[in-house]
Amino acid sequence: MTALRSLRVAAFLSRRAITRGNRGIVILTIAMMAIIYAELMFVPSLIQGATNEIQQELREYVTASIAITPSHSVPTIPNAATLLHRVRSTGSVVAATATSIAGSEVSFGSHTNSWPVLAVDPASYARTFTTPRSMIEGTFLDPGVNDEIVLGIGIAGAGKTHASTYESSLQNVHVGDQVNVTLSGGRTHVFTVKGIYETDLAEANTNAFISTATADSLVPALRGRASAIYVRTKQIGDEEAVIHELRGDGRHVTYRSWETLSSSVKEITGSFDTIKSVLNAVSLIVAAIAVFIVTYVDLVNKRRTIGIERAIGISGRAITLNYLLKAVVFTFFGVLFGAALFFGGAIPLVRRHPFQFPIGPVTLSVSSNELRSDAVILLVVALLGALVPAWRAVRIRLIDAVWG
Amino acid sequence: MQGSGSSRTPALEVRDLSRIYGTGDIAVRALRGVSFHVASGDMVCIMGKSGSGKSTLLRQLGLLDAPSSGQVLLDGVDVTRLRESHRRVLRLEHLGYVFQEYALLPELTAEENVYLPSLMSGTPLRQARLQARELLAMLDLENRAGHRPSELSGGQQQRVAIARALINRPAVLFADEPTGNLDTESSERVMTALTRMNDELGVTVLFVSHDSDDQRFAKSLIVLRDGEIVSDVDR
Repeated sequence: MTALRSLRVAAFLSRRAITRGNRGIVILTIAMMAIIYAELMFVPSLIQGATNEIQQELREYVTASIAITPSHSVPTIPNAATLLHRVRSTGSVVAATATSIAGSEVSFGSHTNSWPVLAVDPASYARTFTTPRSMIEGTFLDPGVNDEIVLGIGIAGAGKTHASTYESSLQNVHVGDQVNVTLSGGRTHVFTVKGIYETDLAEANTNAFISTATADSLVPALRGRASAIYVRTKQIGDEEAVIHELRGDGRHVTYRSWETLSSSVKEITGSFDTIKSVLNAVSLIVAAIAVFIVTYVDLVNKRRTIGIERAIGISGRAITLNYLLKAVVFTFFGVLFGAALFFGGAIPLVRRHPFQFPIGPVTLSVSSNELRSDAVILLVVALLGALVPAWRAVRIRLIDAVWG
Repeated sequence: MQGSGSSRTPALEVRDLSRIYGTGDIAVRALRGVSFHVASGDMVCIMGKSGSGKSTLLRQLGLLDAPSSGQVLLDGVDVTRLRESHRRVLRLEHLGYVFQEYALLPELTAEENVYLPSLMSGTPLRQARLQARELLAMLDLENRAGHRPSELSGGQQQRVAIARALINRPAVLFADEPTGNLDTESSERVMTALTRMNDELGVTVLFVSHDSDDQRFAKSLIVLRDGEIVSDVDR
């Protein structure tokens, strides 16, 4: 009962203090909370944007949505065409392509190094991955038997001396040049460079491609077999359902979604999470100190007023609650304006002018969970920031508060 | 007022009350064994020179400070050693206190200042507002109900403070130099208001004054000198 009365009086006092008190302080406090909230969201959303970009590039260039690989007992998938047909007829599958490792070494002049040379069907590969649309010289492979090869910039070098992979590449290969490829089984063959591609993901730039038809003609042992089958689903999230459906066949293959395959980037995103936590903690400490200072200064100025309130019988609980309610109001409007600032200002601005990261352009990405948790954390911090000075203020001797 | 043989019911009784500020060589004995009692419905003026202990005495009686020794009894109950939470409830519901500097809350209107203690007591807002309006009308302030303290004169603010002190119908009202900051005309109105509250509402009033002219409003008089009662008179 007393608690309800205290809450009622606190609401009465805080409402009037906010609406009739110093407007400059109210506006500045809300502005400060808004900026802190926007700042709290900014770094995580930037990190989330970078993580999303990495994951998307992995799907676009390396893993697709699902990768089907041979089980541990066999080096390749037998009867790949049958499985490919089965995959393509599965619901939610947009495209699927098979790849085989047809070679492992490429040389040009005095430069030679080991890179995977993949045999692919150009048409289905282009439907499953976007690599064929990332050409910086020439075009992607033609179907059929030919002596064409497409190289990633990490292999060709293409004269880009500033590239980090230049030294280990063939350094100055361009379209029309001829390179030697050591094929599976040890045989070498000369290919003419049909195109050179470059993606934002460095690890996707060290593949070489020849057509499946060419590989089959040069390495008959590969015929009908695949090193992997890659599947693109209609949308993210469909993977597990598709895998579940395909598993029913009982084939000796391994199905893995892009999320499982992207474990290599989890170390990077894990580091991002650490950075995010540190920056969030700093922001929250700043928020707590800011609210503490605002409340403390207010309380110092109102020391006698609080003494009078206590002298006329207002409970310490009501006075403390008054300051807590003010913190709630400041946080509420701070979160509101902070969200408006973030969604109305930062996100559109960064969308127009993305951050240029080594992995490519990165925009801001924020989840509703993050929004909610940041708001709740900010509220808790603001309440603590207000509680400490208010709690201390109502414990000053009454005679000191009124006449001290 | 205070003769121990008085037949009237004592609203307030003070026994051997002392208040010492500080310790050791710097100790100041503001009150030295003060004893008296006040009958219900009395109007007592506490007089004395500056530093005589008038305000200190009133703070002990109004439960705003704790005495070093002695007792204060309200309706026969010793309230000196109560916990602060109980003292607060007594201040809220049984005592009223008027400060020399008005002490209104600047962000509230006159009416809101008056009914704030009533809200704390659990009175519904509408009823509290009605009571505040009635009190303000009794004190000729009905047309100032919506004004903030900064928009009121000193005398008006002090009458608002009296209304606030009376909102919960206290048994005893304490006023610490209520006319100390006011001109003659305003002082007259404030003292008249206190007298009306004493007469019409039956509230026991103890007020501190250093102005001998204020004696005429009192039914009883206590004179303090150096923390001791040198005279107490029923008039």
